[in-house]
Amino acid sequence: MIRLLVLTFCLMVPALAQAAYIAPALETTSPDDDFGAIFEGEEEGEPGFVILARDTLFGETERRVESCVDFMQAQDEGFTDITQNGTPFFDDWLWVRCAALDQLRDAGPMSTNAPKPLTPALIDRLPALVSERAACTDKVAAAKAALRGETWLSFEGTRQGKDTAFEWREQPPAQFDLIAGSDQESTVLAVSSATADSLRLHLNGATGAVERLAQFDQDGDGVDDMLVYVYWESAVFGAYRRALLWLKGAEPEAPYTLLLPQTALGETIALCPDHISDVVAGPDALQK
Amino acid sequence: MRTSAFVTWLGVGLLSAVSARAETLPVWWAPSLAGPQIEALEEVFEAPFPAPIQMQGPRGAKLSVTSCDEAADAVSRNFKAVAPAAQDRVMKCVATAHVLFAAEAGTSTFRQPVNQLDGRPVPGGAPKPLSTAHVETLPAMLAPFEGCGFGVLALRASDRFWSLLRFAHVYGAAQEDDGRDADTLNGKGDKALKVQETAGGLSLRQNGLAVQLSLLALADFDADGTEDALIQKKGGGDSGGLYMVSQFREGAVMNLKNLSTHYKSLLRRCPDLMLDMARTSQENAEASE
Repeated sequence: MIRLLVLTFCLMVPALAQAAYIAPALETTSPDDDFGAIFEGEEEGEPGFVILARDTLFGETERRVESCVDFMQAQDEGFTDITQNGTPFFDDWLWVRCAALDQLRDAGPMSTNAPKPLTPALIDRLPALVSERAACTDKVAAAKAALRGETWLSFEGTRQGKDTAFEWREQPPAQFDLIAGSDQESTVLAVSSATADSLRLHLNGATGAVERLAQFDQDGDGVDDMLVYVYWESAVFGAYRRALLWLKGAEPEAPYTLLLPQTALGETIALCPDHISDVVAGPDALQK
Repeated sequence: MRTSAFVTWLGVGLLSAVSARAETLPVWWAPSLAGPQIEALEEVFEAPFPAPIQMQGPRGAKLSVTSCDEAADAVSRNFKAVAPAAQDRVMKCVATAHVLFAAEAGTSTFRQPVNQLDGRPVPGGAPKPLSTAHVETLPAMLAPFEGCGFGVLALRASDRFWSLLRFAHVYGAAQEDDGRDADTLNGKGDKALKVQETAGGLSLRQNGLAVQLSLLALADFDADGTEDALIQKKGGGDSGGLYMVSQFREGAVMNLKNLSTHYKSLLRRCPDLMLDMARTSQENAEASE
């Protein structure tokens, strides 16, 4: 009898763990329903809409969409520029919300228990693709480093010089210092604020954030994965980086890797089409 | 007097220079697309198909297209013909759309020289037909091969300005990259690259795989002032398709355009291989440092 109870408990634990945490910022109680729902309008009670355009010499140039399902379909067909936004959301957040709901449609039942709040220590576990670097050479290098499982801090250390290392200080404002040998050179990364689901970051004159949108075991390996929205902006470039990344969890405290690495690679090459030779190895790679 | 003569001379000189530079090359398209008049091309573009073509797009979206303009629009929105047999027709529709919306180029290496300007030949005549000699200038991507492994190598080789013949020599015939590429041309055995000029273009065969290359159009498709060539590659399994190339100077290996489109197609078809390639390219870079 006791055996049976233990067995039942063991079977229940993973079933409970399958409930998905979805951040309140997404304003959803059912991602699947909200993905297909008509947008709210700018005026209460009015239906919303978005006009999307694409750069083409022939064929359809603009499309009006009224739901996330149509918005994402249009995005995949190349209509990526929002020319008119008749919803209460900012353009960027509209994209984030629709893309996230798309990713979360099959998330299963939602969890009522919030996971542990994010802390600045998460920085040490993020993959290199979170990098704020704007140049294509760096973006492609970050994508490749992420594919190899390298963390952001390790990648940043390598880019800054081989003798550098990051040091974590447990005092506000939380910051990572770049150390060259034994001399402190400069502060390169600071976390200015943290809420339960987001960290605000400052690095090399850029401001950014890592925002948790969902957390659950997406790939069924028994460990929670995390869907995050990463963005960076600076006075020089404006808002220049936005990405939704599925971070694959491993053991507790171990670095996150990319759950959908091919998507990340494709997006990087779409941004940096002149860097194809940097992501294509020679014939030796085929003989492995 | 001397000043006014100088101004007149300068004005005439400038005007003649402008008029010489203003000469552009008329857009050319192959008879396989339509007759030589622009109206014929427009008619082909808008005429209804004998039967609708079924296409499939992102997220499993389905579409039935009934004319070339609809088919070209669908392709530009990432749709593909469901039936492989319809792919050829759809590809010609895309080529037709490119031609209809292309500009006339200012310079070209794809034309027969017919005019003289200051003793120099000015290209302006009929297109040079694809000939055996072109295997030394066409990019590697147009070589006969199939499969993602060769596809990614051909893409890499094209990015590094390898010719079709050099690629066929090194990867098709498994020879050293020793510059003796011509040894692979029209020799005996399966590994040799057999090239034959045909009415529509070039027929290539290597390792039991045959492809046909046809020149479909010449125009400035990307508004950079230089003439581009649109070449159709038939056969070669998944490497068949429409390729756009340009050439910086006579005799140079051609520049394959839209490399990222070809890369994304390989990434969709063989994600694991492409991820391995990306990871290994990093290792190679580190090893060489």
